[in-house]
Formats: sequence, structure tokens, C-alpha cells
Amino acid sequence: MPNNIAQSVTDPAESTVVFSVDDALLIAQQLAAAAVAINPAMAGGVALVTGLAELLRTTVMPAVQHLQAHEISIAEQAVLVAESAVERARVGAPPAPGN
Amino acid sequence: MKTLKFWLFASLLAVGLPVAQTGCSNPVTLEAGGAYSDATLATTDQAILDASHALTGFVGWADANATYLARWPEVGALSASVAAQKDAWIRDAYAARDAYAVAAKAYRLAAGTPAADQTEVERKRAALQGALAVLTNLTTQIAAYRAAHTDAK
Repeated sequence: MPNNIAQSVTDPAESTVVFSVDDALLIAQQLAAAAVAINPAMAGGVALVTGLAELLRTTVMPAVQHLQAHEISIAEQAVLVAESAVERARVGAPPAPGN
Repeated sequence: MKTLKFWLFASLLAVGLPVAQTGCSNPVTLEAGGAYSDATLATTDQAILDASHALTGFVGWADANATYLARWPEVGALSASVAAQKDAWIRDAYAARDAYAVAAKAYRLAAGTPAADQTEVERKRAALQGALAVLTNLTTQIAAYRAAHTDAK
């Protein structure tokens, strides 16, 4: 990973604005939550290898707090199921066997 | 600039958040009565959708900036690879997700009996982790390229 990513995000002004971008939170939260849900123990080494441990403390932890309180509503679940069905059809995957 | 921040943040969280969550259970919960009974499956479905959108967006971005990005052939090479394989990667992720769903359901139904096979659930969980890791790694690489080429639109 290029160093410029870390340098940009460690800028306090940048960090403040980053957290106001709701769509960024959405995609990141789902990717991260899925990884955590599936295997919380595996991914830790990745962050250490890429030198992001300090950034976690200073920049990402506010988002962690958000994640801990996240609940997927019934309406959101319905939308997710519908969108997933469309995506499955688009790529030629079979319907989900269960949710 | 907003796009840049989007990818920076997505990259950081996708790669780094799990370390902060090590040892914790799934932070996402489900409102009862919805379409999902397993939060892992809901978050996985959202992750797959988001990754698909990210991959598609990257290909579009690379195409729109092809002239500018010609000086960095590695970006075009990744874009071509993503364009050619993204649907297969998404299918693979769904296949791993579905295999986990089936194994987890069988385990729940057989809970407390000798037929309950947690090993199989863990095996499918590891496979799902691998499939999602492919998508996460791609998203991270895409973020790196987009962050490195902020002059592109």
C-alpha cells in the first residue's frame, strides 16, 4: 500500500472530513463487519503488516464505536435481500439457499 | 476530493478495523422479524454488494481516465483484470457464502446431537473468509490507486 494513504489520513483535518462521508462509512463498515464476523482472529496481522495500527487508534476508532451500535432494520434487511437477488441474477449465481 | 476520502476510508476500515475488533463478536445485529436470521449472512451480503459496486466503479473510473492513467500501466492492467473477472469473483463469494449458510443451518438443526458438525461450519467459514479477502484486497488496491492519482476525475 502506498505511503500516501497513511499520510493523508493522519492529517487531522482530513480525518474530520472523512468521517462525515456517510457512503464511505457504509461500504467500509460492511466489508469490515463481514470480515470480523467471519473470523475475528485472522485479519489482525494485515493491519500490523501495513503499518496501520496507529491509524486505527487515532482515526478508525470512532467508526468502531458506530459499528458496535449498528442494527440492520427490517426494512434494510428487505432491501438487502432484494438487491442481493438482483446481483446474484446479474452475475449468474443461484438464489440464496437461506438467510 | 470526496471520492478520494471515500476510498481512503474504505481502505483503512476494510484492512484495519478487524484488528480493533479482535475477540469481539459480530458488531452488527438484526432487528427481529426481518429477512435474515444470521447477521453474518446479512453483513456478508452487504459486503459482496459493496465490493461489486466498488469494482464496477473502479473500472468506470479507469476507463474515464484512460488517457491520464496511461502513464501508469499497472492501473489499466488492474482495471482490465477486474473488468474480466469481477463477476466471477462475486459468484465465488456468493458460493462460499451459500456453503457457509447451508453448513451453519445444518449445524443449528442438529445442535445437541452427534450429527452436529462444527468442523464443517468452521471449514466453510474459513472458505468464506478467503473469498471475502479477495474482494477486500481488491478494494484496498483500488483505493491505493485512486489515492495515488487524485488528478484523475
